[in-house]
Amino acid sequence: MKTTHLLMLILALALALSACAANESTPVQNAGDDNESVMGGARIGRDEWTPVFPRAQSAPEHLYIYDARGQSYEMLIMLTSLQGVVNQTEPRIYMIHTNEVDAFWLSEMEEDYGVTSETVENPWDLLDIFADELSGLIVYDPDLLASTDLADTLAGINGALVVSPDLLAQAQGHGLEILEGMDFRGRFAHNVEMFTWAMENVWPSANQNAICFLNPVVYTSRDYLVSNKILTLMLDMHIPDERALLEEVLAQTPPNIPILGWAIDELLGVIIFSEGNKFHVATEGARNMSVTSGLPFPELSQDHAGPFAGQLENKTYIAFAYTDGDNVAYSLDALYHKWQDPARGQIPLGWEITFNLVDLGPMAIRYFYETKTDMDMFIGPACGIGYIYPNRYEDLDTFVSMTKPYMEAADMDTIWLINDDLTLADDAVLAYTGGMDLLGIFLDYWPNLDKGFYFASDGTPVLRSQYTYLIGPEQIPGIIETKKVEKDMLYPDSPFFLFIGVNGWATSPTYVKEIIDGLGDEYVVLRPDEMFAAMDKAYDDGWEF
Amino acid sequence: MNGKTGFHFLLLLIALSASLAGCACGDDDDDNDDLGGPYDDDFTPDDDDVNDDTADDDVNDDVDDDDTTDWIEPTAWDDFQEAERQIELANFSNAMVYYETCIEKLLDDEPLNDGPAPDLTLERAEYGWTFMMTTIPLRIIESFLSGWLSADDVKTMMEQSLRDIGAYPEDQPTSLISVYLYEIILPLLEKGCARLDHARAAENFVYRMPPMRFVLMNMAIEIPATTGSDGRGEHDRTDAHFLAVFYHLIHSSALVVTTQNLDTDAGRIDDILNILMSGDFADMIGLLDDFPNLLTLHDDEEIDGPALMTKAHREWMASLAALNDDNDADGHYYMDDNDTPASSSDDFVDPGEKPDDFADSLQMETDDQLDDILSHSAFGGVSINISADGVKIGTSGVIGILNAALAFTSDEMLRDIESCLMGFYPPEADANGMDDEIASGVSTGLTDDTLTDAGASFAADELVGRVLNPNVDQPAQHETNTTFSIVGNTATTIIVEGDMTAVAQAGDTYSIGDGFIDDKPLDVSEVLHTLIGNFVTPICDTGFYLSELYEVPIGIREILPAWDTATGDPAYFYLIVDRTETYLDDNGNGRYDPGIDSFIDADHDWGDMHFAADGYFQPYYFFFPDGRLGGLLQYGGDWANHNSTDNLNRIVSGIFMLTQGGAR
Repeated sequence: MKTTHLLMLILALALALSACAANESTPVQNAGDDNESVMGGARIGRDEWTPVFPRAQSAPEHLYIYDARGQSYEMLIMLTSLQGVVNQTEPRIYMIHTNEVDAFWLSEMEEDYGVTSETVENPWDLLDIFADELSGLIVYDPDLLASTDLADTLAGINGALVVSPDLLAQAQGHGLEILEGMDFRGRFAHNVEMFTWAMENVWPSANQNAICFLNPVVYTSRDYLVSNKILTLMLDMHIPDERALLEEVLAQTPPNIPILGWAIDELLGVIIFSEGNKFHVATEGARNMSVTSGLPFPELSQDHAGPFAGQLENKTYIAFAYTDGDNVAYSLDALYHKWQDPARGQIPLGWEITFNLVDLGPMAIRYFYETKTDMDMFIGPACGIGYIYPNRYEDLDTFVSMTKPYMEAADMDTIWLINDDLTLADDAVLAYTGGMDLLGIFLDYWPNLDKGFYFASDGTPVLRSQYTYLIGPEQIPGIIETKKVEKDMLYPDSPFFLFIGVNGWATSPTYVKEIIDGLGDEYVVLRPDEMFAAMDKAYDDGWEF
Repeated sequence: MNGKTGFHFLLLLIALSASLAGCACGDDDDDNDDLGGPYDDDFTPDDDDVNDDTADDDVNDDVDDDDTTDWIEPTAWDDFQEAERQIELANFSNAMVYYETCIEKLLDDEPLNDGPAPDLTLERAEYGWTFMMTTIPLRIIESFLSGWLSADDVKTMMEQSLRDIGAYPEDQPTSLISVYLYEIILPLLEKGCARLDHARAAENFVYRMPPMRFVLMNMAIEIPATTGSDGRGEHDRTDAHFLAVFYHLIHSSALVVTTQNLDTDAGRIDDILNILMSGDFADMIGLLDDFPNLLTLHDDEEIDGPALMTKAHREWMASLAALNDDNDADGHYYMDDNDTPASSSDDFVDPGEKPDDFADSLQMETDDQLDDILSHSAFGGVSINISADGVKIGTSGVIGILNAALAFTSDEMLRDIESCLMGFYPPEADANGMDDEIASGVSTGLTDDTLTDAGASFAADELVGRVLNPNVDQPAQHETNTTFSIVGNTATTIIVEGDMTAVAQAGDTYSIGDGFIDDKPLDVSEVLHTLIGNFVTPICDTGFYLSELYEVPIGIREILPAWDTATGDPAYFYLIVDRTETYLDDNGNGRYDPGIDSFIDADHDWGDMHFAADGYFQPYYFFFPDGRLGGLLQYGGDWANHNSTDNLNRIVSGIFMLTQGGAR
């Protein structure tokens, strides 16, 4: 818990000053580069749509497939840079990285979007196919591994291939030479020196609408970063010198833009980003977005809870929902696995899912929407267009205004909010409900001693998850028991509401179904949006929560 | 004593926290339901505000109180009332937010947005905010203590997290904990301490807070258990002092933890997690003994460890002062040579004493205390106005809680904490910021797994299990260099696991150590050695393990000054320590180490009380009041029997006696 300022004042004027910051394309200064087309020119399938997230210039038509499983880190760094550069002009390289999910999304693209493909067995053959499109080589420094981040940014800007010293000779054997000034071996003593240089010399040429913090040992998502010339950094906020530069970077870059990748430290990172008026979008682990972001804009719709039918009873109404869908990688991968559980679709469940997939992975969000049942509903991701702590985000109105089109695109009317201190200022609620038409708000992944449901000052129902995030689903029976005691004490003669946001990584729908099947008559399980409808009914009936 | 004691002890602490956090009570009327002003939802008719002792009607009541959409900017007084409504609705975090906005408005330069806030609204809001903040973590703590999360679970999650983190696992626990505390928790605690101090300093501070009702450990907690006619409980300076004791104590503890820089690597995270999650102090001690330099002191630009330790000591003293302070600044919080028994208005009868602490405030209360949260028990000691599952916590419950507090704060652990805070722990002899206590030199050859020093003369395999840093100047991106476990050696070669060529080459300076950078260690195991010795025997409430007293002669008599509420006179207790057991300092470290040193068990007898040898090494000590000594000795183990005495003062004075080096 914490928070020195529990109520952020919403600066209305800031809306006018910065509302468009993330929506407008700022041409990259690199000569001869058409960044506008990368950023927003490809308004695919929906002319009025201006993506917050850079999208591929065109839809994929024919893909070269390379199965990269088992490849070395050095080779993966090289291949993802190749993929990023090649896909800048047209998505053509797709890689199978870790499991069947990559193959599944490929099959979806083939079946639903008419994409064709051919397999390339040897990575060097893949390089040969596209060597003519490369301007040369950039060599990173293995002794300063974060130089891979810098190298990727420069690769995107210069259309070059990133290689390790170990692969340099082989790459040169394919007709590529080191670009002038692009051999970073021994160039910098530490991250602060390197990224200070990057801010002075690279940032002006990089995409101005997003930045990325990415652990250099991570190879995933790099194709997308390279393809879109996104400045990629690794600054550890726990190290004073790196922290100082991180804050300088946040000050130098525009407000209300996404910070992709992963912040290393979720709590502190999102605090710092939020206070810097930027939102975090977890993309570490996401793969092939340089391809999938070119797919046509999906048309999405879902059922919505109508007014609660009948009378509320003196029972406990329970709803379950899955967390972590704000994470792009989760929504592209782990969520797919949960989705295959036989109990999914058989029990009322809410699913937090990032609507950013309409930009980054349309085939995925389309798949989930098309295969859901009436028992499934989708919840807007924490805390909107990106992960923020609303109490700390000064320009919350602008943030909500950026979130709204995505909520509408995904046909969502509920959203999940998370605050670092397990409180939620009423002003923050009003910023969301004032900017969007919301049925209700789900709150936090952690409980406190609150009873867990209330109405904001404008009557919006708010449900706090009673699930302690780090603990496994075995806690659920205990939660239900605790809430039984609480109902008997607080509301023995009225309806009572219990929302359990289960850890999306750790909980199977089958387990949730077992819990539901074991509930007695004093419980009523609702779909999460139906729970809001029930709370609205309670509100209309005069119950005070 | 068994391993579960530590866990149970933690549970007791949680119970204590719950008692602090609590304040819930069945409110069967609706006096406070309706607030007026912008938050008014017209569920029930308006009425006056029970806390408003200057003007008992709300001027906002007549303005726009029938339409929530007809918004007006809420005043501080509106926010205050909304906070109270949120408490009644069991939305405590919301209450905390509204108290905060109330405070901000009262402190800004806009008097118009204060609204008709009566006197003490600021102090009440500050107290309320602080009180509500205690509710935030309790459910999570409960979740972890409920056993749903095993050490293995945490390890699995942490290992996954480490895999995600990739190259920098060694930084995570260290920096995350310290920076998180430093940047987020410490400012909050500091604010809480300051806010409570405002309430403590306000004469006639009284806050009739709405009842709090919540569930903890599956018990329906209501605070207060008994209310006044207005359906509320009375929070006054006594409660503010008591809350301040714990806020300052937690602040101090958080400061200490913040200063600690876990000198760790990925492999040892498992050990740390075992320590943290075992709930078994014996296991903790064993693990900590394996890693005597587990903790090092931050000493960098951002986190100035020594400065924070100094601050931690100040907070520690502030905590004690909030409990009981004789204000003579002689370093003793209890009666000593400077203090003269004189007045019943002084708990420790020091002419210099000021009524600014818990013990003072408790005894000075003269009003009807039926609705007080903490009050002076008719039986002596403290009465806590809380109910659990509809049953008011009585004297036995109070004693249980205070016993837990005593178990935590008595004994040499306090001395160890004090010593740590005062910087008594010296740096390691080889503390130089490098892990080189075994050997160092310049390599003459290096392959993937073998380092050669042609000039060395190691005994064969003597280095196995040690840690090699093949290049002390390796260009580390982070604080910890890449090191390698030694699996074998000859006189001149060292064989390791892994590939060293990525970080070193022949000609680099290497070092060999135990894997721990050893600057300024804080030997936590000293503290935990004490913890393991603290337990409540099944047959004797007062059978605490007072290892401090091992240093004094058998049979010493200690005077514990106390206030006799029945007679109105100061009274004294004598503490007889039965130290018939002795121990052998088998490992020669100058102290008794449970499970390591052997001891001679013995029976314990005093008067007609007899306790047979029980397999534990412990002194028994016996309290009895003045006047009974030498004749009608009464066993002091059952404190409830001492109805005419002030148990609280016994405890307080006992704590201070033990921490401050003795009383007479």
